Amino acid sequence: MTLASPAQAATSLAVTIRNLNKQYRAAPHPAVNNISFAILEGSVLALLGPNGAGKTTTVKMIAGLVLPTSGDVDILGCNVFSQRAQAIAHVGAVLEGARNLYWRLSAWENLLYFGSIRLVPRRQLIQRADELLALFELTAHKHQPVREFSRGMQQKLAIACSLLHDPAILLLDEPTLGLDVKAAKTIEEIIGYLASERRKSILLTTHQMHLAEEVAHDIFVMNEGVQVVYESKESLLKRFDMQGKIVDVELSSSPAEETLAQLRSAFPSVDQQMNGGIETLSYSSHNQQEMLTFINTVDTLGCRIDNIRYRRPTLEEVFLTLTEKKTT
Amino acid sequence: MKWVQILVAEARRELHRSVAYRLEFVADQVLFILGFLLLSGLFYILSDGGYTEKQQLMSLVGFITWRVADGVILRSVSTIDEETQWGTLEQIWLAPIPPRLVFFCRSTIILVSYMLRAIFIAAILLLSLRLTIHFSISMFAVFLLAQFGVIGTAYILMGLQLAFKRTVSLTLAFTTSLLFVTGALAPIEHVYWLTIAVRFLPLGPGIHLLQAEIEQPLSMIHLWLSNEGIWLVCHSIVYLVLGQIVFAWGERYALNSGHLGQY
Repeated sequence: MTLASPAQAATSLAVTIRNLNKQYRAAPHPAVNNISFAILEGSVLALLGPNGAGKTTTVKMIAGLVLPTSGDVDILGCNVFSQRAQAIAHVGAVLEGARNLYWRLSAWENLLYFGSIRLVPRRQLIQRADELLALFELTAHKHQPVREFSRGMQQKLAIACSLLHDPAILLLDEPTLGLDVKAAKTIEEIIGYLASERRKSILLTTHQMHLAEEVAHDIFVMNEGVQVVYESKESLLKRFDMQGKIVDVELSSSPAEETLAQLRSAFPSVDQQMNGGIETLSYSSHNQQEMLTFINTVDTLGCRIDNIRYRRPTLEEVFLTLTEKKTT
Repeated sequence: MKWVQILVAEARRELHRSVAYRLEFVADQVLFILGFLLLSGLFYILSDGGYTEKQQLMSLVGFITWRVADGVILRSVSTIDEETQWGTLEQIWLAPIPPRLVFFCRSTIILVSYMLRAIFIAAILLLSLRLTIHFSISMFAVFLLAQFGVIGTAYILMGLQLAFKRTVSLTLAFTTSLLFVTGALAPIEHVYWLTIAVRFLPLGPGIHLLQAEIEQPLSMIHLWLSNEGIWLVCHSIVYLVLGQIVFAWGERYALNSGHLGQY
């Protein structure tokens, strides 16, 4: 995937990042090394990478919170570094999944404060704060101090605060970090709703691949500051699908260590895992015959097979393949 | 009128903060009232009863002026430290206004808040020590002008806080030393070099002029035409400008090194 043409940029590009570099003074390697990508209006781009890949630095450079060594970031045609006020007016951000709120203040006071410094007119601010509390199902907790909120409620309120000035672009850095399954699911639904119904352009960084797989339209994978892959989610998964399918062999009980060792000597890339409490052996190959040989070997070694499923690789598996390849 | 909106937002935030930390708020006032009474008693004993009513008044005016300055500088710097720890500092940089404007509004609200507290403390101390003060408009003007220089000083220290982090202890040492070296509590005439240095220190010319007003009240015209009056205006302007320069440097340093939100 390449950056859209200038003609397209005028109409459909919300954020354009060009040749962005960041070299911290004491660091031996650049935190971000010459990356370029774009976020289309109303789409979600998932920025993925292992720890230390440069994701947070990239997000902060887009938000103007870190100055790049070189490169440019344009937000709806305004340069973040030379036209900061105009560019930032279009951005809402929830950073690093951390506290973005005043814990001693109530939800309502937080909304009023952050709306005021974003220069939302008072009457409009009150109406909007009420709407957002209702949207995020926090109205009942309007006057409750934020320190009494659960982590999920705090994260919902942080997202609400970032939406007060109705920004076109939303930057979410690890929005589900530390959340339980239910709260993470709610955040996932909110992100999907904001992109599809409210036409927000969202940049999402996460380590939870299923979240990216659910909500993202485009995927940008980086490792050690460098771009590994940048393409649409569909084409990425399709590309890996064509490279090979995965067979999941579900067993009735765990195989013996010796059996597993024998299996691994014949099929080194076999993966053993528990899927929903079911012992599963997964094997990936582009060769149908090789897959059948794998299943036969499992059977011959005396493992009791309950079920066999063929599937395409998940984003997590694609991500691991991509980042492992890069590391080697 | 965006600054009015930010002033109101900062006032609400400061009010809610004071309510949330009400015990700290009350303890703070009690500490300063007791502190001054204790020092006053000490001076009385050390001077063998020669600590006159006028000297007590001069110490009180110096102490109250210092107390407001101490509050403005310390709170302005610690607010950046707190916000870094709370994870809210970067949200200020995500507003479509210069962060300096937010911090100027914040320091102004802190100044008003500490002036109200100072009125309360002064009233209690005046009653306790049975002192009377003839407060004039020119004294208020001097007081305000001195505090604008203090806001400039707060900006310098906020800039250092952005760049180097954890400067609250340094700020505390700095503001505490101001109480003694500016002659706020006790005269410094016997240390010649200090009388020269104090003219350049934050708050120094302001306290000197306020204490001189107690000895010999001046009209507004006489005040602003005097060398001390002109020096105070220049002194406050220089500190305000210097504050802006250091803050801008600290901001750029933090943005370049990527540690704005770190502590």
